[in-house]
Amino acid sequence: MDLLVINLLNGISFGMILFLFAMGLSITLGVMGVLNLTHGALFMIGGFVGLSVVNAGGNFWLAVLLGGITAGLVGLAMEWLFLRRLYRQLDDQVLLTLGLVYILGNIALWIYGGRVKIFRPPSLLASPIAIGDYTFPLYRLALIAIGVVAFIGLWWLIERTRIGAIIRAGMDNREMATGLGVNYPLACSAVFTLGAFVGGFAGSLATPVIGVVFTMSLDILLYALIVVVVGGPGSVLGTLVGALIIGVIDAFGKALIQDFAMFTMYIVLIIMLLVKPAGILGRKQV
Amino acid sequence: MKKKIITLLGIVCLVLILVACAAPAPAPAPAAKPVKIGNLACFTGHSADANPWMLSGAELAIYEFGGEVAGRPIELINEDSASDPTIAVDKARKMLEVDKVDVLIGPLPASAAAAVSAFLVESRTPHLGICENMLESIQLGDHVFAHDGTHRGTGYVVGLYAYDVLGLRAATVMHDDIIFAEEFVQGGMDAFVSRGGKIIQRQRTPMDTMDYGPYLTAMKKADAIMYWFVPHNAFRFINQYYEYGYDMPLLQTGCTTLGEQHLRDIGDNSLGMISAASYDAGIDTPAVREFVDRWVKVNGHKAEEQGRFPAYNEGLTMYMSVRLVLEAIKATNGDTTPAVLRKALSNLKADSPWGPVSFNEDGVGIGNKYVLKVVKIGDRYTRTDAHSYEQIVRDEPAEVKGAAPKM
Repeated sequence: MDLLVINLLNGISFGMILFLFAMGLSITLGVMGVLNLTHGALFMIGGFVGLSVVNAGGNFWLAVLLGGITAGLVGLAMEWLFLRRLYRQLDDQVLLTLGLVYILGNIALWIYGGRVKIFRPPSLLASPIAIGDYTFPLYRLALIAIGVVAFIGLWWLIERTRIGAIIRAGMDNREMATGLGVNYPLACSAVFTLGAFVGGFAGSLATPVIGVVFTMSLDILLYALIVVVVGGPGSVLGTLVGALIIGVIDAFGKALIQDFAMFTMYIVLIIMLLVKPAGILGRKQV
Repeated sequence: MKKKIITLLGIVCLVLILVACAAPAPAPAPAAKPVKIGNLACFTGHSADANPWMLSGAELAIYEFGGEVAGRPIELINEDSASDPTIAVDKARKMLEVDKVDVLIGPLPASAAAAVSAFLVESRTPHLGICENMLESIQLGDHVFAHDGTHRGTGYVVGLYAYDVLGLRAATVMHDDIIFAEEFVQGGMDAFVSRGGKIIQRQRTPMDTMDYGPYLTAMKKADAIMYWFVPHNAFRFINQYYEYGYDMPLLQTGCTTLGEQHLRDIGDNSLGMISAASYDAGIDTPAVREFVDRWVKVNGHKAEEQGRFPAYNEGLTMYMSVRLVLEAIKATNGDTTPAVLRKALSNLKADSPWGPVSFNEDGVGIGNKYVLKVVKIGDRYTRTDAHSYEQIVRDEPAEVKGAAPKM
């Protein structure tokens, strides 16, 4: 029983990192129709900025916040300089954002070097706690709590506010929303910045667990793409459900069927693509 | 008459002097053809961590020879293998056919180096590994030289040390699911079991693992954990290992993949971690201390991330690769014909700060192997020698192969 609980917690905590990270990708894809492969690099930027802040003697939570803000600003610059010229041009988006992954990765290599780095969680959260015969890191429990709070905040923003209504209107019918006086380019910039912020925030939060290194952009992006496909793009709840499914299946796969651990996520992905290609809670496009 | 003779002699001397002055100056000796060493470096990819140190090591070896060997200038040609076998072979082909290199070194990942060794089977251009070679690549022919030995050879001494010196009797095992991690750990397991130890569990983790939580949860308690991961994964694994509250001794069953900066980031948890190496800056002998001083003198102006101190022992193995090549070329008096150079390398008995190094008939290095332990000296986290195995063939002995059960 204890082992079951521990593995469930392993899966949920990793799933929460995936949720926060994939959320940005999901809303930029769902709302703007932009496939932003640079999202993994934004995650990396958040981690590196957080590291710099902590190394400079800054507070952990300030590091996490600044990691998110910096990634948000980089995202805003990318949207403003490049991506707003490429709406509805999926091939060009993929080429551009993939190129930016390598550029940003190499900039990180120049600045931070090639080795994986880490910063410690706050000392209050640094110790493990006992659960039956096992121990579980307290910081990972904190990640679960942060993920729940972030979910509530993002869900409220998208589903219950005027800004969210504008975003959803643009997602459903861009021309109609523009015709009704919505400043759609501004809304897109705001959405993209929010997505990048959440990605960088997730990167900073994840650094004490998985570290940060210049090569991680594409590795972590793969997880996010699977989460978005499973949960459905553009849906906050769908992304959470997708992330938790992937996190938990990945954790139990690694713990119980190690020979197949490499494939468990992909099996879920294939099943979803066959059964429900729009994702569990994906929004229908008009 | 006498006056006439003296005048005549004077005229002859003058003519001779004029002729001498008018004679064209001797043509300058043709510039000696450079010795070309091809370095399949890892500027990018998963082994990029140690690349600045490897470049520093190569440069130091060349510096120690004064930039030339047997009257020929030394040219180091660096190409980025991207730590990838396919790209490494492409770059090896370019260096062989376009740059006309005399010898190839690397790249660091053994799988990529094995692909290059296979590519060189036809030309039989001498090829040196940087760190441990895969056994299969050594068997490809007499052009392959593994001065650092095999993966199993390094893992083997950790297994011996764990049982004989540390007195451990049961171990759990975890490692990257790649061939050379498998080999490192197998050498350690074979040694441990051949002495009477027991392996209670073996977990293989995919290379792209970021979260080791589920594996750590599934890990069985033992006297110690034997593990081997590439640098990124080793760093993640060790941090998460302590995050989950484990405290079994950590035996990196093979070479260490963590530089001093990693150790500093891990902090006090890194103290006592065991690994093994043929060369390390922390070996406590006057020769190694003198070597470290030389390194700092040549590279000390560089930034920390660019190898100003030999903090990664990949830098030292690279230093030895280049140095052994240059010693062999010196022995041939500058003849770099592949057959001559191969023979010179086979017969080489080179001295080094870590003792004599030579090759057996299979091209496997013979020399010292050190068991290393992480210690803190001042505010530096570093390694020092906990034990040494003197002048051994750096491979797993045939009689213990297969001692550990298949898991």
